[in-house]
Amino acid sequence: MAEPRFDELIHAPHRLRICAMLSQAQGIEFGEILQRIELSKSALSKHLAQLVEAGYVAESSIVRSGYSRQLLALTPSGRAAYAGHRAALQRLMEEG
Amino acid sequence: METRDQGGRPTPEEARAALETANSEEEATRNRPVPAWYYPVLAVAVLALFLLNALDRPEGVLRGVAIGLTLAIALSVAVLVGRVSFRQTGYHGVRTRWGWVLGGAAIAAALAMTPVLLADSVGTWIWVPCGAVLAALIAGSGIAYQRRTGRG
Repeated sequence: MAEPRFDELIHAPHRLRICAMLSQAQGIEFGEILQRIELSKSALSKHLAQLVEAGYVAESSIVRSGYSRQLLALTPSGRAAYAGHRAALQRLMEEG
Repeated sequence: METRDQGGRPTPEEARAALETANSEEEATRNRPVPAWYYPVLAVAVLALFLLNALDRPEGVLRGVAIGLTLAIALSVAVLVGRVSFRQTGYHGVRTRWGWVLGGAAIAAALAMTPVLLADSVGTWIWVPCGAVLAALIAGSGIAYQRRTGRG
């Protein structure tokens, strides 16, 4: 069980969703996240940039079906921060 | 769901809503949608395979037809499962709940092995209930999966 640690950056609704979906995979392509989260490309890019800047998400380029694609993945510190934030939410919920 | 973006901790209700959102997104990554027809077609194909085995030593043309159909359906099932399970998507290295996968495989193997082991002693009819149970389990799993993922 992770140490509860509330994270303001992750807690923003869209970033929480991004971290949650990334937590269950080694990586998800930008287009898939865009499709699920229903934001504009630029809005999603801004959220991702904040997560990248914090060191929570890593970007890389891959080629699939002949096309270059942007792959996003939680870094180890991102996984730890997300787990800690989940634990903090759990504790807040139980206190209520 | 909306919780405050900056400033202050969420209330217990907001924390619960945020956790539910996170759980839902995690589930949606683990369980990718499959075509709605996948499970019903798989169930029918498996049932057909078992029913073909229930034919008690067919002879002549019927034997050839039964063998040909069995091979064709078995190959189709393998291709179908392979294409749906291993198709390339934008998701890489999705976590698998191996407990569920292995549990399902064990039940399917038990239902397939039971008539293999018992057909000589009790009769080939044993293929029918085993096939019906396995097909029902596949169809039921499909309904549960579609309800859980809410897509497909």
